[in-house]
Order: sequence, then structure tokens, then C-alpha cells
Amino acid sequence: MTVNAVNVAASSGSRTARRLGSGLPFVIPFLIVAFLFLIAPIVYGLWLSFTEQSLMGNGGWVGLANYAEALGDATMWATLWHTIAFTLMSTVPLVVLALVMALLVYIGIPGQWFWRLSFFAPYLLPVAVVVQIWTWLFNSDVGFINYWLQQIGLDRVGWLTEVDVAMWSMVILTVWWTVGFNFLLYLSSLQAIPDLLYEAAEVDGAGFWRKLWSVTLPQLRATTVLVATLQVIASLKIFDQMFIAFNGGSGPEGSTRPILQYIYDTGFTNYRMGYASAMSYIFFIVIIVITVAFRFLTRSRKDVDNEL
Amino acid sequence: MSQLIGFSKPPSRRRFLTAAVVSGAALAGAGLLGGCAPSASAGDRTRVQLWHLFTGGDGGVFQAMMDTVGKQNPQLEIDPVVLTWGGPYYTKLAMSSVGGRSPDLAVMHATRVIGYAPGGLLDTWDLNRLAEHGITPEMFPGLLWDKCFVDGRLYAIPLDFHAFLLFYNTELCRQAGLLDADGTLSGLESPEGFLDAGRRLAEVTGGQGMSFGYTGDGAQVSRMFWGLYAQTGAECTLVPDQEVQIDRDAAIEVTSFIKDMFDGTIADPNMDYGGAIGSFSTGRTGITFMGNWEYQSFLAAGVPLDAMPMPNVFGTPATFGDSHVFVLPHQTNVDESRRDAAYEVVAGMLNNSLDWAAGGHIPANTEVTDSAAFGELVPQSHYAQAIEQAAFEPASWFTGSGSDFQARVAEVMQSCWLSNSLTPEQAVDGLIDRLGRMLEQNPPA
Repeated sequence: MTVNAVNVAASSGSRTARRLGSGLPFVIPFLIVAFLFLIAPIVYGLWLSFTEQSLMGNGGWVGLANYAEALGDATMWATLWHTIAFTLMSTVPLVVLALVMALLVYIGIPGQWFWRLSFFAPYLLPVAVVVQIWTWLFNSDVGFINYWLQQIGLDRVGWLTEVDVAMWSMVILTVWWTVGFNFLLYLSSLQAIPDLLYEAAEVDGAGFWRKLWSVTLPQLRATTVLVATLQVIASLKIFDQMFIAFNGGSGPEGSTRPILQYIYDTGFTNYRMGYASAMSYIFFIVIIVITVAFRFLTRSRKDVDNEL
Repeated sequence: MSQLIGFSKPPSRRRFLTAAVVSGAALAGAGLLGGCAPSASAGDRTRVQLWHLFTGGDGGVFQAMMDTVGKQNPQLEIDPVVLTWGGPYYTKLAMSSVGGRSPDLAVMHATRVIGYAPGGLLDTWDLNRLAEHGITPEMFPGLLWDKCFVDGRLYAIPLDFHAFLLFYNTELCRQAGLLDADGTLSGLESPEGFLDAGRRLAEVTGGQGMSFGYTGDGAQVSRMFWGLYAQTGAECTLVPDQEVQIDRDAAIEVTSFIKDMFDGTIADPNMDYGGAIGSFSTGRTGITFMGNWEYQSFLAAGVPLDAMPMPNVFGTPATFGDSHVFVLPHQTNVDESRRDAAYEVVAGMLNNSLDWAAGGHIPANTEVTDSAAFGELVPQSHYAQAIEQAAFEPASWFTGSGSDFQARVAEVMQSCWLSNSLTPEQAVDGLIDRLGRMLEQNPPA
């Protein structure tokens, strides 16, 4: 009797502990993976950024010297600017075009399946294929685009070779490639808007534009914030397109090299891992600042709208 | 039914398990033998792992050469790994050498050896052992052989010299009156003559006279610039922690000469690598500067062509290029029989490098280039003398084929050549500034 009582007391006291114990085995695999492939590399990278480590070893502690060098490195600032410029140039068309395309399909231009397919199909292609297609199209001498420009009496454009144009070419390529994903997000949230709202608006005598401005776009606000945030982060990480299009070079007069490529070139081509790590961390902070600022902007506008 | 298609009874579970265990043991045994005692019996072969960066046409030729060497040396088994040219290849090679578990043999560029050797990434070649395999210094042109030494120790064995050549369309050049009596291109041996030839060719083509891809391609910019710079007789010496030693006036002369080329008539100011090949292959330009490795693509395009070293514009014969070399990536535990096999493979590749010439490369083995068979190869024999006037990129840990520095040189030169935002003087000062800043950095090795 007493023995049983003791057992009951012990088991109830250790219930929480046992529950933890039985859950732990399920979490451990995740913890191991997260530690090995996320936490450890992040900490190791931070440590690297304070050393002179090269790919071949030979590293000594240099404190903040790498950060000081990076802040005074004109190439880092230039490539950081290229990345931000690309983000500004690409995010706007990637959001606006996706919205326009989704509206066109939703409003019901004939042959919906065809538009859906052709808007989304490029997204399925691997980046190497996309860039290869476009470098042929963009070729200033034998390319398809310049051929047609000349046919209609315009001058040839050095799509990949002119300083003022090369970044736009990367934007065009990227928009063509990835706009389909944003288009799909918009289309699905368009389809989720209740017909009720449109019926009510019609009863109140709203025409097409009034319905668009007062029903459709406000209903899409959450999607727009999501699409724009995802797009800003994706555009900041630009690397592959430039790296492939310019054969690992930096474009005409170095005008297209994004900061991630500069970090890659520093770490893996010039073997300066310490310095590359320091720049990675600076860029990491820039991404966080931009993302938080962006979230803050979009959120505050929503709050203001809610108050009205 | 099962009888009809050739099955008898399904094997019993016991028989199946026995078979699996026996074959597994056999495999494991073979692995042990192959790994630890390569020459245990006559039937065993020594495996040599060889990393290289030849793809496309070159890759096919290199593979055929390895097959030939394998047939000539039945005791060898060459196990090739092909990796992409450029930065990624050198990253992988460096990392495998740091780990000490690198391939037995690797191909790299002579200009990159200086960045690798001091860091202990490469093992040295032994001259006596080379001689045992029939490789002697006399086999190679002096310029090339000297390039393989760092601090007096031999780190590389040259396979070839791959040159930045002038390819010309014989038909268009004949129409422009640029060919002399025996059908070779001449008259380009001065800045004026060179530019004039470009203008005359442009009249024939109705477009531009010459093409070479230089926008967005640091390698092409570097090839042209350092090639012509060497022709002025000037040198550029890069010693870490010291000032850049470069002849500024010569560099400015070369920079403005190339700028004069890009006047839209002689050459298009916007032309990338693919465009240059495309326009030469379609007869829109009569002359192109390209690496000899593009010979096969021009041949496939069917243009009537010949090739020569870089024309001597500034007085000293010099043709820019680099050399593919064989190196021994550092290994912590060297298996002597495999290392010996690596020597044997290199000897075999050198002896068979007449095949390599078919891909456009100039073999480093002079016994091959002096042979009658090589003399019959056209246009290879027309530009073989480029190996005696070889000009390399200035040597330092950060320069060389596939280096990021080539892109940085291109940035500043293009600002002068394409958008005119820099004068030739400013461009050269920008180049000197970039060189200086790299020299201030700690070499990684």
C-alpha cells in the first residue's frame, strides 16, 4: 500500500520530466542538423572574420582589421551598391508585372490555361538554361533582339557589353524567369476574394476601376507585402545570373558584379576566407536592416489603413 | 510461363543469401588488394587519379591521349576527374591539397603555380626520377621550363603552350590585299600598319575589320594587354610589400593603341567573347584574336582560315599565353608506387602530345614540335614559333589564368576603351593602383 503510494507520487512528480524525455529523441535529429549545418558554420564564420585565415590555413587573429578594411574598400561599396540597385530595379517590375498578369488572367482574357502556362513555365527552367538562352538573345552582333531592332530601323544595343545597359539586361532576364511565381501567388489570392464584395460594390454602382481600386487591391494587400518581402530578399541574394552571364567576370567595367560575387571571388578565388567572412557579416547586417525597415514600412501603412 | 522467358525456379532464400555474402566478400577483397597492394599480382594495375580542366573539344582529345597512354602502359589505370575551368577548379584543387588527400596528379596553368607552391600545396618533381622516365630539361623550350620553377625547385612539367593567336580569314584578307606572295598575312608589324589593315578589312567586310571578345571577359583583356605590353620590351615585376615595377609609358602606349582599335570600324567597341567568335565565324570580321583552343570551332564553322602568333606591333616579338602543366598536389602520405605511376603517366602524355596539337595547342615537348608529322599540321606549324616568344601574365600569387585579378584589370581598361570615362593615363594609373593594393595584402600561402 505504502509502496504504491510512493510510486504514484514519484510518477506524478516526474511526469513533466518524462514528457520532456520522451519528446527529446524526436527533436535531437533536428538539433544535430541545425547545429552542424547552421549554428556551427555561423559561429565559425564569425570567428573566421576576425582572422587572416586563407583557404590554405595560415590564419592569425587580426581583430577588427578585416572589418576596417572592408569599410574602406571601394570595391565592396561598389558591389554592395550594384546589389541594392538590382534589388530596386527588379523588385518593382516583379511585383507590378505579376499583378498585371494575374489581373489579366483573372479578368478572363480567353485561353486562360495558355497564359497560366506561358507565364509560369520559365520559372521551371534552371538558371543556367535561362542565362544561356538570354545571352544568345542579347548578343550584340548575332543576337535575335538586335536583329529585330535593326529590322525596324533602330540601332543595335550592347545588351551585355554597355555599362548603362548590362544591369537592365540582368533585370529583364530575371523578370522573365521568376515573375511567374509571383503571378501564381497573386492569381490564387485573387481567386480567394469573395464574390460577395464585388456584388455589394455593383449594387452601390461601382464600375470596373472603382472595384479594382476599392475592392481588389485592398484585398490583395497582404499578398503584396508577402510578394514584395520575398522578392526583396531574393533580389538581394543575386549572384547566379551575373556569374553565368559574364563567365565569372564582373561585366562591362565591373558594373554588374554583385556583392555576393565579390565575397565569393575574395574567399574562393583569392583564398582570403577571413576577409570574405567579414564582408559576409557586413552584408548579413545590411539584409537584416533592409528587411526590418521594409517590414516596418509595410506594417505601419497597414495600421494607418486599419485606423481609417 | 516463367519457363518460356528463361526463368527456372526462383532461387531459394538460402542460396540467394549465400551468393550475396560470397560476392560481397569478393568485392571487399578486391578493394583491399586494389587499395593497399597495387602490384600484388601481374593482373593488378596501379591507379592514378588525375584531375584536369579540359572540356569540349579539348576534353575529347585529352581523354583519347589518356586512353593511348593506358594502352601503352597496361600496368597503369588512369582515373580522370574533369572539373570546370577557372576559379572553381583552383578552389577545389587547393582544398584537396590542404586536406592532404589530393589526386595523384593534376593539370593546372603555369601562371598559377607561383600561388600554390609556397603554401605547400604542391609536391616537387624529382629531376633524377624524371630522367628515369625519359623526361629531361632539354626536351622543353627554356622560357617554358623556367616558368615551372619556384625558388629554384621544380613544381611543374609543361604539357603545352596555349597561345593568344591571330586567326585570319584568308579569303577576306586576300581581298583586302593583306596577303603577300606566299599567302601569309603581313604588314601588321607597326601600330599604323595594324590599324590600317583593320580599316582595309572593314571595307571588305562592310562591318568591322577585327574582333576579339573583351567586354565582360577579363581573360581576353589581360591577354591582349599583357601581350602587347611585352612587345614593347618592358617588364612588370610584382614583389609583395614592394612598389609595382611597371613601365608606365609603355603601358599607356599599349592602352591608347587598343583604344584606337575600338573606333567602330577597325573593331566594335561592344563585343563579348561569343560575339567575337560569331562574327569571325560568319565572315563579318576578317581577323580575330583568340586562344588556339578555339581553332576547332572556327574549323567547324567552315571559314577559310590560317593563324599566326600575335603580330609584332611594338618591336619585340611576343605572344601572350599560358601553359598547361602537370603538378603533384601535396599528399600527406605518398604511395610511392602511385607516385611512380604518375611520373609514367606524364612521360606518356608528353610522348603522345602530337595528338594534343590537333586541338590547337603547341606541345611543350620539342621532340614533338620538331617532328615531320607536326610540320605537316596546318595551321599549327604556322604558329608554333609562338612558344619561343611566350609572354606570360606578370607573376604573382594573385595573377594568372582564371584569377579574379583579370576581371579587375578589365574593369579599369574597359572604362578607357568602351565608355571613355578614363583617359589611357588614368586607366594605367588605375591598373598600377590595383596592382599596388594587391601587393599590400598578405599572400594566402
